[in-house]
Amino acid sequence: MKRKRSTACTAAATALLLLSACKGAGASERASDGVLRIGDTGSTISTLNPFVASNVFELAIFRYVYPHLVQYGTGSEIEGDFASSYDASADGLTWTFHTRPGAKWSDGKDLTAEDAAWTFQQILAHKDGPTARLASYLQHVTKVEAGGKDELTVTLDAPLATALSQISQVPILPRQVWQEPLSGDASQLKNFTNDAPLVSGGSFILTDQKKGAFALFKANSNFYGRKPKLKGFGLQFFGSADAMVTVLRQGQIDVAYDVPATAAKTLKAEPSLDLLTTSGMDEDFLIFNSSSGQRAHPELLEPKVREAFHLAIDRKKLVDVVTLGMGAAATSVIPPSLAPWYDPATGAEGLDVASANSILDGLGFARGSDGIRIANGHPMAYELLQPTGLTGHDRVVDLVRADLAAIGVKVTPKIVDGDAFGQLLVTPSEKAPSYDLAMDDWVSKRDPDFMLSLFTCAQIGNRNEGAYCSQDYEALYNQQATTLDSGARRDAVVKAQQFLDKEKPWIPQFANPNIIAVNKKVKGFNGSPFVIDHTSRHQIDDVRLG
Amino acid sequence: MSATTTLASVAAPTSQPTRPRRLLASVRRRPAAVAGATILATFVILALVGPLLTPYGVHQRVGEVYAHPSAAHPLGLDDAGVDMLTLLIAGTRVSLFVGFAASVVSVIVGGSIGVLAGYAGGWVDGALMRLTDYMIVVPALPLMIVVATVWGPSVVHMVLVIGLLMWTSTARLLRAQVLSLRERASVRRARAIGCGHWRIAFRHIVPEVYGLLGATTVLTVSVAIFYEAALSFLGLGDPGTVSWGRLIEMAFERTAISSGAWWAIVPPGVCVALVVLGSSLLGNALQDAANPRAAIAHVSPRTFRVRAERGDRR
Amino acid sequence: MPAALAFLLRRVAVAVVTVFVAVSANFFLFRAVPGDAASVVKVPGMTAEQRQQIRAEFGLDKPLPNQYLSYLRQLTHGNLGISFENRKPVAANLAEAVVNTMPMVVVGTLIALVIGFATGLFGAWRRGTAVDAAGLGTALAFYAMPAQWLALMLILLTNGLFPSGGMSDVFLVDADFWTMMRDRIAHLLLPALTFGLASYGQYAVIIRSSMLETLGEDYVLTARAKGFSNWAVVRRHALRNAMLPITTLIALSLGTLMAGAILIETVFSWPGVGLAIYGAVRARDYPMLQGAFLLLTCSVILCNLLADTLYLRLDPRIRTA
Repeated sequence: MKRKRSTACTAAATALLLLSACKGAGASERASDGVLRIGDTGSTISTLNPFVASNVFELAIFRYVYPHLVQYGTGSEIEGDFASSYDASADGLTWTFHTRPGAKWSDGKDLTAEDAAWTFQQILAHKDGPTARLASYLQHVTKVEAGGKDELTVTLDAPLATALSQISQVPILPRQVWQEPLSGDASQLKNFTNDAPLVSGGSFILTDQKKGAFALFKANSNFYGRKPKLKGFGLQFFGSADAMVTVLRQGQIDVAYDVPATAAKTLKAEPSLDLLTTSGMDEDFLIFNSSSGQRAHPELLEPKVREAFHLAIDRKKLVDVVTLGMGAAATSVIPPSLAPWYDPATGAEGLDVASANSILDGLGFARGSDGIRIANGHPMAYELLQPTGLTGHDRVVDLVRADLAAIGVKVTPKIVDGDAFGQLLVTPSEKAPSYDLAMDDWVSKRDPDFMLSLFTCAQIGNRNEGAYCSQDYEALYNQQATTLDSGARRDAVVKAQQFLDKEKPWIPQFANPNIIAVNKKVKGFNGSPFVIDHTSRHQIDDVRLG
Repeated sequence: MSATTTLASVAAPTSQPTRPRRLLASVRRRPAAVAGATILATFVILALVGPLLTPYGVHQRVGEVYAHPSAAHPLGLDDAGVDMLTLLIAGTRVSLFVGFAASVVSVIVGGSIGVLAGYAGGWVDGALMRLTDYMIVVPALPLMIVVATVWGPSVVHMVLVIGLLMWTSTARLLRAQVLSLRERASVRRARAIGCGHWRIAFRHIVPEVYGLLGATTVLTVSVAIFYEAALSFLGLGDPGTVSWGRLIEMAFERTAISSGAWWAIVPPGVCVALVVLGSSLLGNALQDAANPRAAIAHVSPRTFRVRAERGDRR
Repeated sequence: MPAALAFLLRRVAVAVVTVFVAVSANFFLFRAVPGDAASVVKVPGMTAEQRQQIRAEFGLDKPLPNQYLSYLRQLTHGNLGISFENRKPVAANLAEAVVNTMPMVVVGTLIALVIGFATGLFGAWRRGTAVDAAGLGTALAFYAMPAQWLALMLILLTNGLFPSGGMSDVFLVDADFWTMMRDRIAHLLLPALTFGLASYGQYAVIIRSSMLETLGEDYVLTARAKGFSNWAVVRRHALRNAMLPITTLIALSLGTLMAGAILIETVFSWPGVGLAIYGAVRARDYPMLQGAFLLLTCSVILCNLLADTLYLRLDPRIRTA
């Protein structure tokens, strides 16, 4: 008897559920007008602690929620933020920032230069421990002092072209919140969760956040700067591009970042959407093991051999197949869209299989019976490491493998776990298992220093994939890093690019496209390749909903 | 007895296990088995002669991205303009290979553990069965994900990961068989005249369980193909190869659904479902034939653990 | 009833041993895999000292036996550790994920039971007819489909009629209760339906065979002879008999359900246990994984124990054995 009733109840409940859901799907009235809804895939927010955070969107949250002394504008120029003006001493060692008077945190407490000084000092005080991540932006800073409520001086131990760019990355934290976790040896700092809603000093207040799912912001009425035009904005993270695109077409989000090229055709046909496509800051590279411990294949250390590889790779085909024609061919370690630092003359020679073959012939690497060349007594057959989790990378490997086969070079792909891959590549071969070639992608920052720094000896063991190290390059790198005049610095940056092109520790292949779909009711949205960058508030602050 | 054996232990097979020839005859009488065998045979043939059927390569771009099905390309093109039919056939090879190879691995591991536990008895049996209990309760797919992530994606790893984690039902089945065989007159006699353990195991025990082993192998194929599809879908498939699971994953990753490209996603799923269905139909029939007593127990079609309807009777 | 008591005691003892094996296996499994907190917490330019400090922070610098003992000690206090990834207690992360998964799994299982019962009962009643074959065939076909693919098929077929990403419209703030509820249900529909369709096959098969078996038993024949209606016979005897395998099946298939949940949650971006496990693997968040595995294995063991107890209640033959 009982059994029957429960079954019947279940059936009834299910039917009810179906019915009400059908009704629910049709209803589209929303209580969130004036809120810009942004979707993204593959990214998450797992922590709101700036001393632990490293994901793009975690950093983006801090940009809107915390004041920063300076920020990037819409391009690659720096502008004032909480510091309305700033100046450097003639030797470039002392920077003075004039902060905005009368600013307040969202809890009503005063926001002054002293908060900035306190934050910077705390970061420096624990730089070898819990604050290491943020301290990496204050590497050459020796002293930070508040001169009253509205002035801050930062002293460096060397003139630095990137001083402002570095400082633009450091959030100013509310002392009333962070005093406790930063007390003593700051050992509790990393376990401090800093849950929403948190005390805000930026243009928005984070009202709600769920790990990996979404983050919701409302405009901060206490904000010191130009008030944003939106009532609020939100970020929603999707597990798949398909889910995001579906929701976008249904009008449940207004902007979709990181749209896959395969979806572009469908979305272009959608009358309610604009598709903003640029070649992005994200370049794919073929990486040689340049470490001195790589002795199994000495020919790969030879710039002429690398030149032959460079000439054999069909970049246009990569752009056409992998990015469906929406990316761009890459010729330098600085992506083409990073004006004014990119040098178009670097690595400009196009596909030339005949020259590539004659270079290798000239080196005496004759083809064996199987068509594979012999170099130094070994066939030119190499293992190509690939990290897991790079979507679409199998296509790149396929194409490059075919291109290199045409010049008698055999490449066998090997996939390794992403973490192991990163660790292996930055470790010199005398300390790690040797490998020949690898493929990876890197996202450039707005300052060229980041990409150029990847080839410095100091980055071996950290970010220098391929463990390339050359004293000549060090000099060129340091030259651009310490030249304060922007015209002279551009020359230095170009020289460094040309040097890397000659040595070819990495061969640039193509730049991935940056595709953003935006609902037409969104006005003032900037589709620049910097869009998911977290170094500027303009991306949201300038947007209106029409 | 373990908490899980309530369901997993087989009705103790006191009856005479069936020898292969009689087994085949009894299978042929079951329509479900014939259907299952036909499906499996079709796919095996497809895997063998497949590359001859389409003129395209699996990396060859032959047209527009997600082009509709046409006379030249009956299943349309994928997200890079590659012929879907060519990919589907190439996928058949890899998926079937993973399915069969993983199944063989699991049957070898499970069979050895089962025979060893049943034959040795005592603490060996106890330890092996506790291990089996743990392997049954541990969530299989998450564990496979962990191991596959750590090892890195490759076809061989996929085979090992799946094979090494799904041997539990085989082990239990075999152990129960052996337990009953052990007390048989012929085995006792062999022991009495001083035959070595290996000789007894291989001459008197293993031949008696061939039928069951065969049935379990076929059943396990379906589970293995299922897991291949699952792991590939989660991005743990070998990116250098094409399998049905990878085809579903690629279509999902590269927005086949929102592009309306049903042809990129329907066929691989249908293939997985057909092979899973085929091998479970055939495997269940084989198992019933090999072990008539188990026929009255309930068979869960996915895990294919044979479940007695009553508590454990050991 | 001493026989029953002995039966239960034996099961409890084995369950305790299995839990202990699981606890230890979990510990050593995640110590044997490469990568640790230091490789997860990425600090640019991390020095060897910082690496060491992070390891010390998670107690990874101590000898393995000490780590094991302290892990056991922590467990007895119900402490599952701190997640490498977001530095929150693993238990809190897990609790959130479980709460999210529950509606999908529960509603999905209900759907599966309803369709499974209907197919099984009807098939047994009309045994050997075309309807029986079609019902059973459909059930097995659905069961053979990969869950992730079935999910994608449902999205394709419904063509945007129902939301297919996330648990709710996250931008629906300050809405009234019914709007919220409708939104939740709309989001739940496809995942739960996928779950139900992908798993009803096993219920259909079991109910059908259990019905068939029972309908042939003497006491059922007697009952029918006594003039009880067909439905009454089914209700009183056959269904009651089918409850045994069904309850145990639900209990035992918890692990298999998880597999389905991971795949379905991946397709629908549903922030449940499955997605949490998958995310933890990708982030190398071993404390989180360790906790999730412990939770899952212990629930499977517990469910089995529960099923055994139900056996005692439902099947008088064990009690008197």
